Amino acid sequence: MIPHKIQKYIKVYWLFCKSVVMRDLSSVSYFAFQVLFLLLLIISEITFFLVLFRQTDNVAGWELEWILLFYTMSKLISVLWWLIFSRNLNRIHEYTSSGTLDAILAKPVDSQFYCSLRWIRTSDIANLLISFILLIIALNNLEIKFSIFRVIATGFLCLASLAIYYAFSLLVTLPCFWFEQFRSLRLISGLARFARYPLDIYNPILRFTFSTFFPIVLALTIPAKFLRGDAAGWLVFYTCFLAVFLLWLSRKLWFVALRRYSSASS
Amino acid sequence: MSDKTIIVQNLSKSFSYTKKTPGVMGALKDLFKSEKLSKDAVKNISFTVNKGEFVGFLGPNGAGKTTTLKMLSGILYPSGGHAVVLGYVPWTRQDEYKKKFSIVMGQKQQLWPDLPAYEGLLLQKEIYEVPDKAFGNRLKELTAMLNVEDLLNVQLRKLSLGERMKFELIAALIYQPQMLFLDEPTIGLDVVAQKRVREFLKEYNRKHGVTILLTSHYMQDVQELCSRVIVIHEGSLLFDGELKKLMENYVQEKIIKLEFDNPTIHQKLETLGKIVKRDQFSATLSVPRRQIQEKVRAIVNSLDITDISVEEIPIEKVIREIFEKKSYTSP
Repeated sequence: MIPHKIQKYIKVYWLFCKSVVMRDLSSVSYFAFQVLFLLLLIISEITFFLVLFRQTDNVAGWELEWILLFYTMSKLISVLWWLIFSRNLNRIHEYTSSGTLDAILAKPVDSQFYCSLRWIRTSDIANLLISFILLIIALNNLEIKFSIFRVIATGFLCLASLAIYYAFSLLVTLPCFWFEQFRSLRLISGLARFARYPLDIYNPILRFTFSTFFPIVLALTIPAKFLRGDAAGWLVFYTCFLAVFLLWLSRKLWFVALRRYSSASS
Repeated sequence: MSDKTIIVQNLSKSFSYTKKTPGVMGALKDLFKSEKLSKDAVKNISFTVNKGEFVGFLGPNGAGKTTTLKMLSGILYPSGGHAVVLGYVPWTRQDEYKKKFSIVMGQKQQLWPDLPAYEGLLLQKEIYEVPDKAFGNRLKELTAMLNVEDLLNVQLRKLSLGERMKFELIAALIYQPQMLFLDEPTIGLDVVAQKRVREFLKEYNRKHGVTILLTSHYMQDVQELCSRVIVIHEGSLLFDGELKKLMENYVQEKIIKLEFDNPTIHQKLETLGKIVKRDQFSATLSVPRRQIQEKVRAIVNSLDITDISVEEIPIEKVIREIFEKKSYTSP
């Protein structure tokens, strides 16, 4: 039996998604253009790996088949973030500068839930499907049978990675409550670029930096590393701990930011 | 619970901001050394509102009306003082409280313009956990009262501003709140739409006994709807009472309008009061409120007039004069 409060939030989230899809599908040509653009992006990125591996057998111990699996897994997590959170986090500064947050704060619904999930990026629904198909192809290429435990644990790590990605993005968005013109999405996109390659290719200083201060790179790398069987136990534990810690921290700082909110003049 | 829906005690709110120096050099200088300033938007105001009252909140731009409404609806934290609304401290932001009040901001719409109003109302239903049957009944009642039954499935963007405001009111009332904060609900509407919204609010207040706090720049809204007004100026409470009392307290004069066939009357009028407007066959006199009966009697007995009327000074003028801290000079 699902608790009443969770039922309410599921219903509200369903209506959020429905209304955004209804709104976005009013411009089918724009939607189709977005899908085409994303497809081209994926093709260009895979082509890059294919060209790279014509010169070498492996990069930092990762062979082409594993690199493709790594790429599709990190892409899947990244696409989920874009689909579920990107449009929302990008709007938080607008809520604070225009005073739209007023109406959200007056509703009997969690304000962090509302601000983080009100929108979805509909064009990424197709991207998600494409990423999922690519992941199946990449797994098929490996011709390895994974144990059920490994598959379930990898899925769980993907969720932990998504949580790290979201919580970190929210944390770097929150300064807009103090500085009106602050925009953080560029920083997130810039950091995510480093996650196109496994963490192992970087030198120890960058590896440390990407695992602590900018953990998006770690988050996007760890599930594939675990599936491959070369993620140390402490690293898996650290990823899970980081997910819980960042979610807790972002929640605490969300309330600190709300106290700072001064609305906009009418 | 007592009859007091709102209890406000010494409520204050200050905002801090940085002083901006003009010009590029000024902006560069501000990077290294900027002056921090503070503005007291609301200063120690206290008042109470009883259940079912319709109270007008008056004040010029920047007086602190909207800031007060935002504190009472829990959107802003106060800098000092205390408030209890419907038994809750607003800024604790409890869901139980949020389900009991509604805030409508005329300049900010909450329904999506790209979708039909019905979709937005369904979202309100789930957020406020309105049971299906109650939602259906209230929707029927409100759309009928506002005469928008046929527009529920039309994209909001395609409706007039007045019709969109009607749906904003429906969204605000669909969960039957006990307290309604209205911030400029008729702003930008044409006179017909303003009248319709006013009639609706009056009827709704009468029918459901909901407590309403209204801010408006249109004095007609206040005159027609509010039994009581709270006047706020530069963050401080200037007056709290009946509109009639406000006129008695702040306006020492009344207006006598006269019409006549004989233009020579003008010479005699000067002895009866201050002439504020005149033309060949009419005149307007300003007379001390206490002497009004005596003056009217004198005019009727001594002058050959065709018509006479006694009027209050227009409320817009009075309020403007109060805010400008001047005495009344001309109508």
